[in-house]
Amino acid sequence: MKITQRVEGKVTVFVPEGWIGTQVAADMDQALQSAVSSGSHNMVVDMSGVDFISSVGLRALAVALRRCREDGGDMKIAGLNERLARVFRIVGFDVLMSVHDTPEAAISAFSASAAS
Amino acid sequence: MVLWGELRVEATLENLRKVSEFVRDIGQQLQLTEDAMFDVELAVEEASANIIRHAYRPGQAGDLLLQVETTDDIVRITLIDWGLPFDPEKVTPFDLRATVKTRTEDGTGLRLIHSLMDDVVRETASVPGEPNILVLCKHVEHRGAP
Repeated sequence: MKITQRVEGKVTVFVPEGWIGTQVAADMDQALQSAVSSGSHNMVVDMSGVDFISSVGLRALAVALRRCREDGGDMKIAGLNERLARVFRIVGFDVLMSVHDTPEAAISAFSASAAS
Repeated sequence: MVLWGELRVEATLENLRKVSEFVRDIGQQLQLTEDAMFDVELAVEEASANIIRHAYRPGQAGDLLLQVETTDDIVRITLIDWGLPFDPEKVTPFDLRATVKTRTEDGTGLRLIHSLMDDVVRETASVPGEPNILVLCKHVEHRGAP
């Protein structure tokens, strides 16, 4: 699994790619936790390049979301394919977190929230 | 049922990739659709990870045996370990409505297994050393099927 990140304004965009199985989910967890600890509390996770995610990967997302919200920010998800969207529905993540079709839409949602 | 393959590995996280490759390889031979393949792989990953994490005490080596069998439209995956019996009563029930603050990871893997598979049957060993058996069944579609 490869993870890249970039900053767009006040939003940190994480782009994991590939297979987020149990063995490698710790890498994503570490990257997300490190970003939050460094002060990033508005994050978008662009999942458009992710083929597979296990419960350990889902947990990493949930923990990062909690920390972002505790810091007054949020974490949004973008680019789920149909299979991952179904996984999100099964575990209730579609209600727990804000899910968008594209990372651009997710980033825009932060601006919309700030304006309202 | 036709036995398509069997894999026996030491129940370690390092071997999860072998388990996934084994399942994917058979799925490709069976020409499962990508959706069916995804469901089977994820359920097996979750079940295998649970066995790896909980079946054997720290420092106690143990094995995980997987068997994949099929009929025309059913895939049956049997996972066998010889470790501690799994007690579902000890798992905090998965709470779909848990908030971000109260959500734990407990039960997420089981939730996925039971949602992705059509049938889940568990036989727990009554005597230490006897096998614990988990059977996952799914009706599947094959690529190119009418």
